[in-house]
Amino acid sequence: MRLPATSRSSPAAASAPPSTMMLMMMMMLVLMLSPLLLVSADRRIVASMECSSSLAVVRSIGLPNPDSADAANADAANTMGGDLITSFWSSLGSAPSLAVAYHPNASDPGTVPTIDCDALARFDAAKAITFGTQPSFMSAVVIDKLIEFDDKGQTGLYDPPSTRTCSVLDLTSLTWESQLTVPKNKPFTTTAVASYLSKYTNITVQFTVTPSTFRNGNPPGDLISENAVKIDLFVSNFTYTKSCSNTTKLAAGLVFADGNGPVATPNQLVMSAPSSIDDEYTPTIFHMVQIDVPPAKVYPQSTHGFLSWKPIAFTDTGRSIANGGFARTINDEFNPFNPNDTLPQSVPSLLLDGRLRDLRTANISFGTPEDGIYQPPVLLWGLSIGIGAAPTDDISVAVLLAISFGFGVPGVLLIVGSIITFFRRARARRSGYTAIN
Amino acid sequence: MESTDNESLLSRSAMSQGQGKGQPNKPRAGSSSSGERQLSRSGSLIKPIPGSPIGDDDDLESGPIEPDVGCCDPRKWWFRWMMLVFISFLGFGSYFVYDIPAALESDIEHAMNVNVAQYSLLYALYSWPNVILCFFGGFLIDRVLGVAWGSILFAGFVLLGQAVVAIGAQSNLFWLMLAGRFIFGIGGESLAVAQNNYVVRWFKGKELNMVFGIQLSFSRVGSTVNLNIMKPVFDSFSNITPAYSQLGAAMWFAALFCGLSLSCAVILLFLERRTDRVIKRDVGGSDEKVNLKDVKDFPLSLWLLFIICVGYYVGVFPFIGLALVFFESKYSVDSATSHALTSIVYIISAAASPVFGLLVDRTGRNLTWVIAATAVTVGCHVMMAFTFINPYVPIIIMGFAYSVLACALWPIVSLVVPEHQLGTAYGFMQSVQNLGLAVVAQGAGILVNSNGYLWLEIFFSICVALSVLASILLWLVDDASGGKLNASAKTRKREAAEKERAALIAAAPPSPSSSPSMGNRMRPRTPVELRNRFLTRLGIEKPVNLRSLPLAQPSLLR
Repeated sequence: MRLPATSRSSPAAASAPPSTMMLMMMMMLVLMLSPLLLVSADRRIVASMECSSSLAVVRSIGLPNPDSADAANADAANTMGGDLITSFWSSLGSAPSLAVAYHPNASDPGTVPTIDCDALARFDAAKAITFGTQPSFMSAVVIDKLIEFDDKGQTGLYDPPSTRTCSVLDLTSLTWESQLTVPKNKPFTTTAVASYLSKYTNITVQFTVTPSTFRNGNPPGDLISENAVKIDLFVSNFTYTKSCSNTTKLAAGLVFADGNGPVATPNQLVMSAPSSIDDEYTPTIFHMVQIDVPPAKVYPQSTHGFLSWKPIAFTDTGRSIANGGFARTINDEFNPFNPNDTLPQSVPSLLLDGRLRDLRTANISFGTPEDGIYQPPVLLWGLSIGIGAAPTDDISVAVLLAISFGFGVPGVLLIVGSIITFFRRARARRSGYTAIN
Repeated sequence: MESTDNESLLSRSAMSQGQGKGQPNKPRAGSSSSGERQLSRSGSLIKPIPGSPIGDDDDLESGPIEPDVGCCDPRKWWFRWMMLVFISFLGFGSYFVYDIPAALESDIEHAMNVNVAQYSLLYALYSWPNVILCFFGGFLIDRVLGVAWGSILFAGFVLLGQAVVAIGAQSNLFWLMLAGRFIFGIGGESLAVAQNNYVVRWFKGKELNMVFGIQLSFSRVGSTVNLNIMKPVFDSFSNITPAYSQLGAAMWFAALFCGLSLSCAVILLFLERRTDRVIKRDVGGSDEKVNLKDVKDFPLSLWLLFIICVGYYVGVFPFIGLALVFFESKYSVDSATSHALTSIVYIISAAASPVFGLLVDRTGRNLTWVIAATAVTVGCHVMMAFTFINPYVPIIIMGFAYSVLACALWPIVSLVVPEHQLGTAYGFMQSVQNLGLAVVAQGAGILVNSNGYLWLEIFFSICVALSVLASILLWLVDDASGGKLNASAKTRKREAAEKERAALIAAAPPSPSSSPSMGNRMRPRTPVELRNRFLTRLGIEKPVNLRSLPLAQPSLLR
């Protein structure tokens, strides 16, 4: 399957010939049963830890387009038609960071990165990680700090300088432990975890790459798509500054960068909040926060990437709506472009060195106005970074069935009843007889 | 509390979170005694038109029987409207007091040192018992007390309950406040049933739909007044310390309104007695006594009305109670706007209900109005579930639809069940409504948390669609049996006139100078008589069911 693509499914299905439709239905069946059959249909994932486990490299290889003739030859999957998303994840010298690189043709040997561990340790951008064939698109994200702010105004927003900053925990200064796992029950889903566990504050950042789109069963129940990497931030036992205030909340500092695409003018990146009528997967959330890079309106023909999240964070491991709050930025925007902003020294800074196109920062505040939740013991938040278009929620079959039944029955009854009444009255008029009583 | 029209517990709960509560109009319980009689033009006692204790004004005004009735002649048109004033204030205290916890939530929590969960018991202890109590309240009115004494009893419960609440507050005994709310609840909902009975008793066959609208409007006013003045009243007692004593003083102030309602109940009793005396109504009780077992014999039409009532109200009140966050999250409006949106339905109903009631009175066709109101409400839910259309549009439309339904639905009960069962029927209707609201309110919260507002809106849409379904079934059932419930105002007026004429004829005393058959022959023939005569002359046998009726006497058919 070739990316950038959005969600797979519907448009293609609408125009597909019957045989293809059957094939797709079978694929859907397989997808539904995949947890049982341990089968993944869309991408093949190859993961490895490099340089003494300081760097995880996950290659997500697209399978051939099922419509193409190559589909008949399974062996062609790795050599024909598929694209490649390579994820570099590391906390080396920095906070946990992620960079994704996109090659349109996985069969190109030049897409395999060459990694020089010594150069990586020295942060030698010219030699640490190199490609024979340069990616057509790259983007990266780093969660570089945790901010404790005083929400005295009960806005739930971190808006300096009007908002008092109590403390800033620089995540780039912590010592992280990394681990790459491939769970046995999901053999093709790869997770990588970077943890900072101290006596007081525990922070875990988890990256998940999946070979096929699936929906997370836990709130926020978001789609984890095959063309993206899911990042989950988990903070517990944060050490709040008692001397500052007892009405403090947390915010996360985020750095987002992209490169190698068409040259863009800084400040063209705009957050959007696409709406959905459907909040069945994430109750009370009807919007996504999303950034398309480069702006699709400006560069419609180029390879695109995205950064997106559902604007909700949880303050309890229970992950219910009751303990859910907004995850927002001021004015729903990134901070204004600042030429002095740089990526923290990290794997992404090595990969994008000299190829950086745009870089933006944002402070994600966790809290709802007047929610009364301060100094939460737990914070859970997640976002996705990927290639193509961000996944969107579609109305479920259950909703469609409920609508059909709930509205269809009265509608049918009304029609049938009207017909019956019409004929009854017509017959009564014909007879010309009115009952005496 | 009451529920009058229907809104019931839930609505009250919804309001308790900040919006005014609203009370619906209540249907009334039965009046009576069935068997009331009224004076014919000739001064003899005649059987009254069902549901109308007094009959038509004109007839009564010209009645020569009671030459000196003083200043308050119950046969005058304005007497009926004076009754309406007292009937409206009869429930005012209940409506006012019901939402005090909402108006003083933070003050109660602070003064009584209780948390939100404990505070919410002030509503729960009112609501759940009324799932059953108002049914028995209606039955008591029909079977034992009559509407006048029933009103006094239930208004007394309301006053007693509020007094206990006030004593509990002054004594810093929260459990006593809860007990007071329970006592208040015993009276509140049943008082609403009595109120509805009064309305039907005095306005059936006249401006019944409009009066139900006025009742609904008045209940909204009661809630709104409470929500707006209780806080200033509480603050005005700031010189009283400690805080729970200050709260107690505010509660006693509210009890004054309950006293006002009780006074109205007593006045209504005297006015009823005067009416009985002037028009010589039979106050000795009905020949037909309601029995609890009558419930199983309720007609299909009434059960369909129950379904319409429950389906509709559970689709509106719980929605309003949960809509604050819905509007904020889906439409990204601020808290003030969201509050404004959720209060629109109540505001519109307060203003529009009497107008729509008048419209329904003028046009008749209650069922058509009900079907339209329910269908439009479904459309509003669908609009909010599946589109991003400005929420003011669907919510305003819903406010109008709700007003129409409240005016058109409740009076139908009086067309379906005999008068001696009205209280039981209205009580049962409110009970099932309260049950539905209580259950759905809790279930809706769970549904939102687990499946979100889309599913909640779908659920509410289906609930209201169920009421559409029941409305259509009721229309079919009614159409098959003559279309009485959906008759036009013109038809109803004609039928009422025929009925009255028939009653007059049936009650006409035989002339002492002639035989009964001669007397019958002398009076004008009704259309039915003329037709029967015509059919007989054609040699067609008259229907069996007419053979025993006076109108089908052999002498007439000759």
